[in-house]
Amino acid sequence: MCETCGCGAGETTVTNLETGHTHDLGSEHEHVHADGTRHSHRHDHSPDHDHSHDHDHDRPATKVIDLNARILAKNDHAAALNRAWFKGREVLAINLMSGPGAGKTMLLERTIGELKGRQPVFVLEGDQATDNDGRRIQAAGAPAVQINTGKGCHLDAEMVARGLAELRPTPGSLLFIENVGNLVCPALFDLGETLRVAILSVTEGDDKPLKYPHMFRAAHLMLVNKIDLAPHVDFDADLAVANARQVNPAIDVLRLSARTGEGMAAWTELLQSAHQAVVAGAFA
Amino acid sequence: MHELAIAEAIVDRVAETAAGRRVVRVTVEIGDQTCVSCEALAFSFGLVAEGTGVHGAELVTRLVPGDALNVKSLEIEEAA
Repeated sequence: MCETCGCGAGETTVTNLETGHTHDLGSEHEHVHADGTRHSHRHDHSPDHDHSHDHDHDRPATKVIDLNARILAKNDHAAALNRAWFKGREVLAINLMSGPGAGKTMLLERTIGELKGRQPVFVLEGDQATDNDGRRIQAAGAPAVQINTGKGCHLDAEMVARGLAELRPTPGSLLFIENVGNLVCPALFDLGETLRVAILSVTEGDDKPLKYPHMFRAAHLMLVNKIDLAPHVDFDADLAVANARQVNPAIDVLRLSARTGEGMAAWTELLQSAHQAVVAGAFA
Repeated sequence: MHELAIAEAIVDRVAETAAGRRVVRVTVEIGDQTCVSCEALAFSFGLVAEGTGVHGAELVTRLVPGDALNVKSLEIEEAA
């Protein structure tokens, strides 16, 4: 319905692949103009109202207040505080995002092992429920704080600030923020991190960057994980990289396997050079 | 359902500005690169607004290119 802006967000459609017919599910509770503007309907009138009379003439006078405010201004403010906190302590903060089961926690376990004795590592673990992952991180040898979001599908900057107050990462450390397993929502919320890393595991398929473009557009780096399994699951790593670059030409890519250790050296080198850049003040 | 969090942020901001006055209409700009679904947002807005001073307000969403997520304006009833 919103062809004019090209967002393709018609927005929910059902397509019968046998007939080629597409149905727009644009809900009956709203109407959409040709320019993409949508009106939700007021909840206090009957559904059989006449569209041409959607306002009463005896209502009190109204006035319009221009706000021009960012909707996520509160989150942005909290993220800016986090960012300043990290900068002042020369902490490299990495927001790790992926779908559930892509191997975020196992990658962290392996990374903690590889960096042992070289760089202090702290972890904020985000999950809807359970402290299973936080416990795995502790067992791997890094201090961890578990954030359970309940129904929430992503971490926000205030949750991270609250977690930081508990975790207290030491100056000069690496802080991993393992986001809730979800390839959509976390892309939208700035946590104040230095690096946004999206993990794609080969078992998910090489077309995921095209199916979930927002995540790969928001990320600085894509890790192609479980690369040891690629031959067994018909995963074309070059195609996955091409797909990611189609939505984000600037994205960096590393291929690795947290299980076998393949590619882990390049990952830890990248982390250490990013941390040196933080210390040198290269990240704004 | 990140739209729920977005709707909460909109309602909070609008309620703060309206300061108790009845809100008739809220206009927001949603960038097409933001992965925010206007349909899900309209649904969430209705839920979140219930029980607040923003209840019953119409939500107008304007799709714009890019990654904007802004509350453009609100229309309120003038004090009698």
